[in-house]
Amino acid sequence: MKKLMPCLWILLLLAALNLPGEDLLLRKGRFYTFDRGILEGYDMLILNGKIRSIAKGIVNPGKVPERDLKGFSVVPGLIDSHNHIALAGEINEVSENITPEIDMAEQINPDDPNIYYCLTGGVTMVHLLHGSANPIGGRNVTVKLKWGESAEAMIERRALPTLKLALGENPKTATGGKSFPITRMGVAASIRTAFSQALEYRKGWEEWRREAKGRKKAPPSPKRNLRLEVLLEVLEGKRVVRCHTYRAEESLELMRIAKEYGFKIQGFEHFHQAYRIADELAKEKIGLSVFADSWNYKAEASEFTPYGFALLREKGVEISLNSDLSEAMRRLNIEAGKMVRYADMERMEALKTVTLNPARLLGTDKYVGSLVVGKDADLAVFDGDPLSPTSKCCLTIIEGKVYFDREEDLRSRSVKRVEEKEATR
Amino acid sequence: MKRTALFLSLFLILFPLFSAERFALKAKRVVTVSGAPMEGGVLLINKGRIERVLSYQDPLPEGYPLVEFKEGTVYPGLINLYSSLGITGVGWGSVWNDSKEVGNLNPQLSTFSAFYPWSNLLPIVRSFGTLTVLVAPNGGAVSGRASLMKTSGWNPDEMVLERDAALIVQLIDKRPAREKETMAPAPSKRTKEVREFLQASRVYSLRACAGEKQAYSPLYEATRFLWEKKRPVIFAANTVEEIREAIKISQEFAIPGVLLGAYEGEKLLPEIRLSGLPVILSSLYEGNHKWEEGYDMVYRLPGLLEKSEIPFAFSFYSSANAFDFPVQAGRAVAYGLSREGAVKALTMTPARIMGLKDRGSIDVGSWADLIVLDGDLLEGTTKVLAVFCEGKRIQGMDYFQREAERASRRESGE
Repeated sequence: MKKLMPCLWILLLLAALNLPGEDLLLRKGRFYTFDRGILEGYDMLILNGKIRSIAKGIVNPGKVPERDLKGFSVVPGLIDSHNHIALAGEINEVSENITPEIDMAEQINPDDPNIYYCLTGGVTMVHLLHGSANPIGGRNVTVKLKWGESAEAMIERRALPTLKLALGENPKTATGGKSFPITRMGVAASIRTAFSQALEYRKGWEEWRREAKGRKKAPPSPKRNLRLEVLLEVLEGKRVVRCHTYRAEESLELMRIAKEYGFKIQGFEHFHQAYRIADELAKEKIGLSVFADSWNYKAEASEFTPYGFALLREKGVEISLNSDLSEAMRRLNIEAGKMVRYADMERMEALKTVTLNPARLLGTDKYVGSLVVGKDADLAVFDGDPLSPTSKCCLTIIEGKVYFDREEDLRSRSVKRVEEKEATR
Repeated sequence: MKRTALFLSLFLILFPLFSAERFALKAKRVVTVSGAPMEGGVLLINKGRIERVLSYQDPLPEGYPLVEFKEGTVYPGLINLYSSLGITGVGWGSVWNDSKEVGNLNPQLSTFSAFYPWSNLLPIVRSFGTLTVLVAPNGGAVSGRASLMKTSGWNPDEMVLERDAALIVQLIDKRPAREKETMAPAPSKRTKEVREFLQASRVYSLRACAGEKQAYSPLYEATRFLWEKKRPVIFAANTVEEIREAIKISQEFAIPGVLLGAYEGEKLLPEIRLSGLPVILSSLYEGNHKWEEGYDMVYRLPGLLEKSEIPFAFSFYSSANAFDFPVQAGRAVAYGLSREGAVKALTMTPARIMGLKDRGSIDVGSWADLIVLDGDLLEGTTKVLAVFCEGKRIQGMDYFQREAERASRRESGE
């Protein structure tokens, strides 16, 4: 033990040096807090990547780098609760239709420029999902957009573990009609069958354990099935379901399946027809991860109304907006603004649809999603009204570290131009 | 005879009163676009046109019932010069898509011939403020003729402003990126084709006008309007080479060319300015930029065009999401365009590019194509309070409104 002590000390020291997050003091900004309203001309002290205080005239505790944000708006880093960037373009395992053993965390590409483009729109956290080709797709992963760092460093392990399910056109047509299922009946049946198999599997193990208990020579155990073990996680409440759907009847059916088997649907994705079952969604406390008004790009997306969000809001269904990979990831704040128009939301409430609401949907609201002391200092800084298309993101900060700085971006471009000129000379 | 005259004169006197053709539109703010915005304005509207523009202080003349928006801002109706409204419907499927024909030279196509005014999409786009669209085909090299349409009216004939408003020519290299890299730069084949076509079309028109005998050609017959009515050719051109070719072709044939897209326009600002060609920008949501260009390439171009005094208009091709037309323009304001410049590029400049003098701005004599908003046009938070097409207020609900209303009652069926 004595021999080990120095090693332990070194390890502790390393851990201390390697504390996540950085220190930063933001001066004179306009802070959009949900609990204290808009704080104009306040300072924010960030220590070790966490918000330490938001107050006027904070005294620098010593050598913390400062940044003047006079005239700028600071909002919680935007959270995109449904996106597929940084997955090397491979998001659908179409060779089979039930593939929960797939894990998106295993194929994060930290070099995808889309990570940076996301940052330019103030996004700090995204939920990366398996595609929608399979009734039961893969396990999703939540990441922070730590551009320049490893895939490992990007993964947000405090987020709820999620599993992707998909209904409707995509799983119906993924194989061009060559394999089961090609109907919504088939999709529902596939999901039921898979969860029933998982229950059977569990029963097999339980029986074996009972038989093996206290016996010197245990009988051979059942074979492990990684696929069904993921479904058991879902049935045991250790993992929640996020389900792609457009039409209301298929979603109602999944809600029935969830009741039968006892699992939690955390959120419905896209769900253009959610307004048709606002009461039912509110009762089951199922969240929505949707577009503000993009629609009609395929048959099942052609029945929709953005004014439906007013109804959903009235019934108490929580709305999160997402980009689903398109360039909309660079303007989630504008999409949030549209909730004022469509759903009669107050501006702060609208801002929540891209910050606190998706944080809750991902189970990370204890750590991110609002400007509260103790939470991670994940911030987006805009040069004007954060809900307006006429203002732009100038600074994106994750855990106190600046990952996007517009001025820096422009400077590096002009340096590059000078270098190019000199090279051609 | 006497009786007829009496009835006629009575009718003429009473008609304006019965038809409510005359009214006064009063609002907190009037953005005329052609002049400075007015704080507190009254527009006198008569027979669909703006008769007079008054301030709050001016006395209101008799016989003009007041329509007042205490918190409203009036803008001219928006004009979108590259639209698939009426020729595209649901999604990617060909069943609903009439914008893209097979074949390379298709001037005989007219979007008017396929314009579907009963689409759910049309009233939605209208109730968000777009009142005039240039409906454009987008296939091949010579895609076809674009029709200038109003978004109000019952059938295509009521809605058309100009059937043959422009010819759409695609100079954009649509080959997949992989091919572009491995093969020599070859938009030349396409431009050669376009040049030959225009040359033959011009000769055909000259001969036809001179009454000379010649073999009938449906292709050249369809493009006589270019030469005989001096209508514009809209060149879809994105790269430096494509833009240069569009300018060259316009000059060679002395046609009023218009650039569409002009993605790399910032590298050619002086040349574009010198050419006098106006620019129709593609939706700012369509940026597929390269890393070297900087993440804001698409957003900064409108501001640069404004500074170079190049006339430009915004556009939005997708029919389903075209209600976002003004909001996407707001992105350009974030990256250097003036607010006034953005509004102008949604209204007056597109009108003038198409030669419309009485739309796109609020002036005496202009059509009363007007929208009333509860805030700034460029903001996504803004709601539309009222829409007037040629002085007529749009009354019915659009699909979005109807659908929400139906869901709130939880009643199926209409």
